[in-house]
Amino acid sequence: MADFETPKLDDITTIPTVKSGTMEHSSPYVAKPVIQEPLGFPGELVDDWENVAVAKLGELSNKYRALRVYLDSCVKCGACTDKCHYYLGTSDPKNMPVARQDLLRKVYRRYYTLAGKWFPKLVGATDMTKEVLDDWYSYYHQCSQCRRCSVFCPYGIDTAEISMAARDIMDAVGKGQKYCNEIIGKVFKIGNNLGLPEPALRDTLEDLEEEVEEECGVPVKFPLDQKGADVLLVTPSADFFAEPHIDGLIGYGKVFHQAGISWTVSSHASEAANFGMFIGSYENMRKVSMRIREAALDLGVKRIVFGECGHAWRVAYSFLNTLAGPFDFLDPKYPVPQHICEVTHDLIQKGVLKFDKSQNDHMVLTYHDSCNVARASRMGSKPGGQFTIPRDIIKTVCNNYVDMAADSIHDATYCCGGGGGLLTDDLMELRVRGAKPRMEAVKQVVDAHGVTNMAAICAICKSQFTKVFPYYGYGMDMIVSVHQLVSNAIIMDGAQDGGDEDRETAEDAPQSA
Amino acid sequence: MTDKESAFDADGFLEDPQDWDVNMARDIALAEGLPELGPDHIKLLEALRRHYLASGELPPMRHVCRDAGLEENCVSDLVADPKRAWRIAGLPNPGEEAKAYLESSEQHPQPGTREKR
Repeated sequence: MADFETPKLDDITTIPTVKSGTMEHSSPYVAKPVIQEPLGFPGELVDDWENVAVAKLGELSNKYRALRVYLDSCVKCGACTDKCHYYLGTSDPKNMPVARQDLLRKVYRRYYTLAGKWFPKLVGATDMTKEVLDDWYSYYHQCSQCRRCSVFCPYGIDTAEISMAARDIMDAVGKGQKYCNEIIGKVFKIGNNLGLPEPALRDTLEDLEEEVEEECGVPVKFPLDQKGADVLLVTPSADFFAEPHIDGLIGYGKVFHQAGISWTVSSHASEAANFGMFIGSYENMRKVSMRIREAALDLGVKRIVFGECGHAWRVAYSFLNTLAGPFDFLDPKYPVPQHICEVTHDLIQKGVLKFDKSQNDHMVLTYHDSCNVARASRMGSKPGGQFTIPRDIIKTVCNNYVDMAADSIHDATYCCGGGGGLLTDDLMELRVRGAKPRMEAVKQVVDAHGVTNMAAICAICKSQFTKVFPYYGYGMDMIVSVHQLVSNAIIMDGAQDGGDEDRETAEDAPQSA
Repeated sequence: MTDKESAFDADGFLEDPQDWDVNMARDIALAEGLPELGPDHIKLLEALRRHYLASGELPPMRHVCRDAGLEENCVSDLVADPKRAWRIAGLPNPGEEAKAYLESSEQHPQPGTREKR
C-alpha cells in the first residue's frame, strides 16, 4: 500500500488541478471463492469473462431502464466534474463522476449502440479488456454511491446506479470485493454484519441494561426476541458494539421506555445494514431484507422501526415494501417502516418526552446529513423532513447548535468518505482524502462558532469520522449519535440524581482541535 | 514465537484462541510495539477473552473495562487500539466488519505529514 499525505484543509473547498492516475493504485482486496460462492457468484474470474461481462451489462441495461437512460443521456456538460468528494480530495480525473460513468459507458457504447459497433473510435467506445476491468475494480470502488453528483446533473444521471451495475457485473464474472461480500455472507449465516450470534447479543444487551440502570437508576430494558412486542427495532449491528453507536442505542431504549412503548430486537434480523445494495445485487438485497419480514412475522410485532443507519434507511424507505412486502400485517396507523428519529420527533411533538437541555451544554453541535438519508429517502410527512426532523431533535435536546455551510448540508451534503461499501482499512487513503470537503466544512464552524461535536444518524458515517477526524487534527470522539444527545438530556421518570455525576462536565469536553 | 508463527493469520490474529497464554501475550505485545504488560493489561486481556469465548460476543470496550475492574477508557489508555487488544488477547480474526469497527485511537499523523503504511 502506498504512502499518502493527509490533505491540508483549505479555508473554502476549492477545485483542484487535475492530476491523472493519482488513485489508480487504490483497489480493495478481492473476495476469495469461499466468500463469493454463498452469494451465488463465481469463486474466481470465469473463463470467457469478457463475454459474460458484456452479456451481463446487456441484461442490466434492459432490466433497469434508469441505467440505460443514464448511459445514453450524458451530454458531457461538466456540471458534475467538481461535485465528487473523491475528486476534490484526490485530484484524480477518473473520480470526476462523468469519467467514472464513462468507464462503463464506453463498453456499453461498443456493444449496445449502433455508432459504437461501427465507429468505436468516433464515439469513445472500447472493447471489454483486462485493463477496463481493472479500472472498473479500482474506480467503482472509489465511489461511495452518495449521489451528490446526481443532484447537480441537469439530466439527473445517478452515478450510484452505474457504480452498482458495474459491481454487479464484476461479481457476475467472479471479481467481487472481499469487504462487502464477506459481510453479506455473515448476515446469511449469523444474522448481522458483525457476526454476533444470539447469545452474544443477549450478553451485550444484558450488560447494557446494567450500565443504564447504574447511570440513571431506571431499569430500562433492552429486550431480545420478545414475542408480542409492539415494535421491532432493526438497527445496525455496530450499535451493539462500537462507540458512539452504542450511546445511540441507549437513547432509543430510553425513548421507548419513557414513552411506554414495548419493543424488541431480533436475533434473526439483528442488522439494519444491507450491503446487497452496495454491490448492486437485487437478489442479495432481497434476501437480506426478507429476514426483517420473517422476524416481524415470527415475533408478531405491530411496527418496524429502523435505528440510525443511512443506507439501511434508503433500503427501508424506498425499497422494503417491494423487496419484502406487503406489510399488511403491521399496524396501519404507523408508517412502514418508521425511522427512530420519526418516533422520537412525534413523541416530542406530543409532549411525551421532557428534556434537560443543559445536560448537553458542554457541547456545541453541528449535524452531518448522511447521503442516503438526505438524497435517497425522506422522513415525516413533509418534503425535506429528513433534514428538519433530526435537526429539530438536536435543537430540542441541546442549547448550542450551528449548521455547516449551505453547500455542504441537506441535499448538497458531502459524503463522510466511507460509505457505499468502502469502510475498510484497505481503502484508508481514499477514505482520508475523500473526507476532505466535509472536514473543511467542519473546520469553518469549529473556527467561527466553536463547534465541539458533530452528530450523525449513520453507523458508517460515525465509524468513518471516528477514524478520519484524527488525521485532520480533531478528536475521534468529536462524532456523536443523535440519540446519544437525546439520551444525555431525556428526563426519565424515577431517575435518581446521582446518575448524573458520571456525565461529562464542561472541563471534560472533547478536545476538538 | 517463531514456532508459533504459522498459527497466526495474514492479519496477525491467532487462529486458535486455546493456544494462548500470558507468555504468548507478551510476545505478541512486543511484536505489536507494546514492550510491557502490567497487571492491568492482563486483567483487560482476560476480560476480553471471557466475553468473546463465552458467547462469541464482540463486547463494547467499556463493558470489558468495567468487567476487568478498570476505568471506562482502559482499552485506549492501556493498549491504544482495540484491534491490537484483540490480537494480544489471542482472539481469532473477527471478520471484515468487526475490524472496521474495532476503531483505532492510535496516534495519527497531522495534516501535511506523510504516513508509512
